[in-house]
Amino acid sequence: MDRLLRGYGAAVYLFLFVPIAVVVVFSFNAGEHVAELTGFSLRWYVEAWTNPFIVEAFRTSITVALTSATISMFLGTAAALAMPSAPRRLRRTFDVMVNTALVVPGIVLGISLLIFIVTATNWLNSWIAYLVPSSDLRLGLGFASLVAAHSVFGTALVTILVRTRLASMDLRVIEASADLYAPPLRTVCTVTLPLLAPAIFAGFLLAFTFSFDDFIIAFFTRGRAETLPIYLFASIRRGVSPVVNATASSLLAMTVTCLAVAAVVFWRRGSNRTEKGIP
Amino acid sequence: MYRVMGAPAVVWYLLFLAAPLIVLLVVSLGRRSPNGGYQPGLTLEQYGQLGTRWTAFANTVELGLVGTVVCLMVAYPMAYVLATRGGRYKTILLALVVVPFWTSLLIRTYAWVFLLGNSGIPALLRDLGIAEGVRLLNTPFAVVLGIVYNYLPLMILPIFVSLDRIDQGIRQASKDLGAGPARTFLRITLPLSAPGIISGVLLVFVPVLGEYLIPVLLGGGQIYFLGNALADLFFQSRNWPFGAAVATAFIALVMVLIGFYRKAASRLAPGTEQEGML
Amino acid sequence: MIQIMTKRSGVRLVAAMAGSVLFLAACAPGTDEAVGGEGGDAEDAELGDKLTLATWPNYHDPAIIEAFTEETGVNVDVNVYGSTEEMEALLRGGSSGIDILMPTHYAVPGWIEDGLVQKIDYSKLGDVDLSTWNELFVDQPFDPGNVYTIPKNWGTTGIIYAPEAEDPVTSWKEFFERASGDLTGHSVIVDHQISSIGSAAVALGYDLNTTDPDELAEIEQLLVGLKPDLWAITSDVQPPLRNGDSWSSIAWTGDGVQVQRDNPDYEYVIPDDGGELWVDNWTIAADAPNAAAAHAFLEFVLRPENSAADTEFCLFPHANPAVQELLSPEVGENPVIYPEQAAIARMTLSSAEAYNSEARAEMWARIKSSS
Repeated sequence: MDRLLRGYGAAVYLFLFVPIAVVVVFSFNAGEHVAELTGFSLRWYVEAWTNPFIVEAFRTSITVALTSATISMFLGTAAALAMPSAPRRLRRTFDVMVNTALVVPGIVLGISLLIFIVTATNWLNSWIAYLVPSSDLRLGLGFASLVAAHSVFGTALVTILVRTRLASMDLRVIEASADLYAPPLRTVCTVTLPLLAPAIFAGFLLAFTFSFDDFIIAFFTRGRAETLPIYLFASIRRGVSPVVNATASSLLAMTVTCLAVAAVVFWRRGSNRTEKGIP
Repeated sequence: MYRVMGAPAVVWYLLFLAAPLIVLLVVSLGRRSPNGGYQPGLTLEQYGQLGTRWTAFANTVELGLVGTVVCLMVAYPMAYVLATRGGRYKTILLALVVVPFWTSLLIRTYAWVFLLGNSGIPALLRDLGIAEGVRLLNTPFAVVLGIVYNYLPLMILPIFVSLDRIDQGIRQASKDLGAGPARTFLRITLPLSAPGIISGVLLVFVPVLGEYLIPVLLGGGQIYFLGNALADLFFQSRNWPFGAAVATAFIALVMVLIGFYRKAASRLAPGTEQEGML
Repeated sequence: MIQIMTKRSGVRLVAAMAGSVLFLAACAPGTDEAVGGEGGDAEDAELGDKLTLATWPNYHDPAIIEAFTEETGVNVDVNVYGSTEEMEALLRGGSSGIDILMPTHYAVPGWIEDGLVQKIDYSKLGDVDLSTWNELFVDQPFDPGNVYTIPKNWGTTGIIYAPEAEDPVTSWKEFFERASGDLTGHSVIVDHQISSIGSAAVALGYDLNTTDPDELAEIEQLLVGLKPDLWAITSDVQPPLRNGDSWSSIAWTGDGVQVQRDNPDYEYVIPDDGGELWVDNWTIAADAPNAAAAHAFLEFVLRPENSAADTEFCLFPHANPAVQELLSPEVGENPVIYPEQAAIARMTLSSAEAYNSEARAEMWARIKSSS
């Protein structure tokens, strides 16, 4: 039984990693062909990272993901802290909206944001033109609409994570702080937030990942902003090139590095804490 | 004093979630203008045509369900292995499950196009003399495989968490009282891991319903999901009102399915509903 | 941030709302550069330092774009789209901040009619003389007199067949017959109603651009019946060809060139019974923030030597014979890229009616969702 289980585990890992291995192996392939191996080469990496379009798309992706994850982090944390003491009706409305954000399929969210932003900006633009005829200011789809779209889902993620953490926290710590006459703000900064940090960080990370990997919402709301998944999808359409594999492998390497760094940091902090006896 | 801190999030949601959904509803009542796009109107015409996308609705629900169930069947034993046999390396092993999730969904799925294509697994089967002329790519099988592959970590994680929480003492007690492994599993482990299963299924099923890339890349246009129908309506026919109507119906469908699911789940495993989505 | 916000509890809501409005304002790509950009009436108007281009992937030689930046100081922001429809969605959204778009010709009449593109000021383009260009692509019904558009590269919708197909596939009639005959399970049609419905129409002896209900019904019957026998309906036609999954495929010129370059056993044919001809066009958005820079860019890329570099890069034919002369023999004399004039004269430009037809779009959805 034991062996069977371990064998199963190994099989699942194989299933998970074979496709990734294929991508990585072919990214080092010397030949133009995606289908046969002809030797080792780094040329596709050079080509990928000297291709201005790929670099630009990568930069956009990172910026969008960082911005939307940061917004999600602030909005979500603030909301999770605020909602327990908010008026019931507001709390309910907010819960409905968070659940909706989590449940509405990405493609529908993308479509409705596309329609909304187009409608709203056309309306605003006509007002701008009417009120300030000399102004060239015009609003439309783009970087900001993409950030807004991604932060809708991200905020819900952060809210849920922080809320769960709050629920499992010992609230007496916060009460104790209040009993010791710490002003509320101080309690938040010195007691609540540090205790919530892991959940906030996890939320940020998830929101970042979601945004960075998202294709479908960006497909609709990107306007002229171009993220990496959008670029890769478009370039796959007109013939594959090992450049795509090299790009993907570079991303993989970056992810693994980030995860490893995060793991080391967390592990260190964890061991420090237990030494000092802080739960 | 916390009260007002919730305001930005509420405003944000009113602006970028509630308002867009309302506009979606309004547009779904309009008409397509001759060169594509939207013409204001107040008609239910678009909803009358929903029947023309019936196959897309049916495919989405059917393959979404199959994909989620298969995902669960693959994920549960894996989560069990990690929770019970992980030992010291539990965290690292778990992280390994999540790593693929952090690489581009597009590329991961694309790798399967190569693996399932003629020069991939079918060639291997042919060379080994196992089977000739197997067709894997552009079949429902490929789409289900793509779903399982891409969403497996989302299923494994919550199940792992709930399994990991189970006090070994309870299982030991069950054994001590003379229950065999099968009985212990069925009466103790499985029920206690129900919350994990319930949130895992929800975490997978909901995004799968909205899939676009997997059917496009692995279904080769032969498997038509709602996501594909919607993308076509916006990017091929440029029929915004009908697209909005399909999207609205889609939301209704998801809500109804989730409503049923929550009810069923709370009956099967009472006391889990407060765990909500996660 | 939370700290700051809690201190000023009274004004927070107002601030948040104002912030959101401001955020919306920030949704405007091109606002910053738009403020500085002058309309472009003056001959020597400031070009500004930015230009945004919506185009196809791998369609421009990056060196040419860099050279333009060097010459004028204008940075070019290139955004790629997988289809004309995606560019159109962007353009119809309004205030896209895009200056130049690259639609395939069939979208152009709708764009002109709806005022989405602006007239090209030929006085700023130097000595561009379209009358010497290939007559099949200039002064066509989609834009009589080329008031709004100038062709970039053109192409054909043809057939690629693999050696496994054994006999050549030489016409649309043969393509569709054999797709459910000896090539069952190995044929691919593209996920694009204009090309696929159009080619099937040609196979049945109808016009490529038909919107006649009876003819469409017959085509639908053919394609629905054919679907189970196809390998795929996909616009990514190259991967299945290269993997050996598809042996006979509808394809566009660029696919033909790339597949044949890597695999000389594959053939790209212009069908005997004709089919679709298309041309991508330089257009300037009506609300282009940098119209002056857009004209300067057109002037630059239309210089034959620069167009030739682009053509060498993207491997689609160019309508200017002066460009063809400058090409390397591998490109300029490649029969896949430049087929005989007689072969392409058999073909038809796809029409805006076919592109905008709701009947064809709905029919395509029915075909794709049939099983």
